[in-house]
Amino acid sequence: MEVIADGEALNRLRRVGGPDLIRKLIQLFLANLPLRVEVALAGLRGGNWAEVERAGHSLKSSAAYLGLREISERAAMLELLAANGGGSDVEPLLQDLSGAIPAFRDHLLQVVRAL
Amino acid sequence: MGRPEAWSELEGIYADLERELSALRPLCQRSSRCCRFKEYGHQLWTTSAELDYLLDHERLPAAPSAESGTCPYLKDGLCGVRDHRMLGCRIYFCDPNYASAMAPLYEKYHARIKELHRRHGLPYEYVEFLTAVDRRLGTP
Repeated sequence: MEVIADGEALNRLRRVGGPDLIRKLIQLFLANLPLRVEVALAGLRGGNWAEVERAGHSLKSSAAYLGLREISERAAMLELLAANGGGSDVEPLLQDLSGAIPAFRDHLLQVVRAL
Repeated sequence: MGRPEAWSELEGIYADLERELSALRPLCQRSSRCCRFKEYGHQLWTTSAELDYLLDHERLPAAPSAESGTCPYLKDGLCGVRDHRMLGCRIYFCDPNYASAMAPLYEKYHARIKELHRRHGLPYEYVEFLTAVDRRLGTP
């Protein structure tokens, strides 16, 4: 998954709450992203679709706030699939999200450094 | 100008938002997921005037809530302070068909509320809701 960031989303956050808001939301997201993916993977292994759905829902909106459309769209798909009982697309989707964590972390840390 | 004038203007801003939302018709599933901040990795941010407006009309919660991470005004799955809730609560919907409209709408109404602070001489702060409420309770 490529790191594509919508710069306007960050500009909007900056206009609303300044660099401090961006910094705090990124910190929250970076703490949540691996945790939610891990929870979703555990949910997948245990057939707990409610947990997978919850993780997808959480990531969908928090990624959207930061303009991380690639994550947000995949998380929305994850939420939808889990809400409908899972399916074979869930695992590759989660692997995709999991594999992309380092690149997104690097990108967001770079954003924070540039604030 | 005093607070009643500011609150009247704030209610006008909220009413304008309601009109826009009624045209967009986002769907609320009443899941209360948006009120369980910690569980879903969200935060609710608000302005100092909106927090004052809420607490001028509603009681402070009985206990701190930042640690639980759930809105202290969530009662039986519904908002217990609906008439006085903040912009972020009014504007947030899970509806995927509305997702792209949400952020620009938030920015537009937030700018009006920020301007309201200036015009009424109210100190402006943009604060994380649970921490700010706990601070009003005297919890560090």
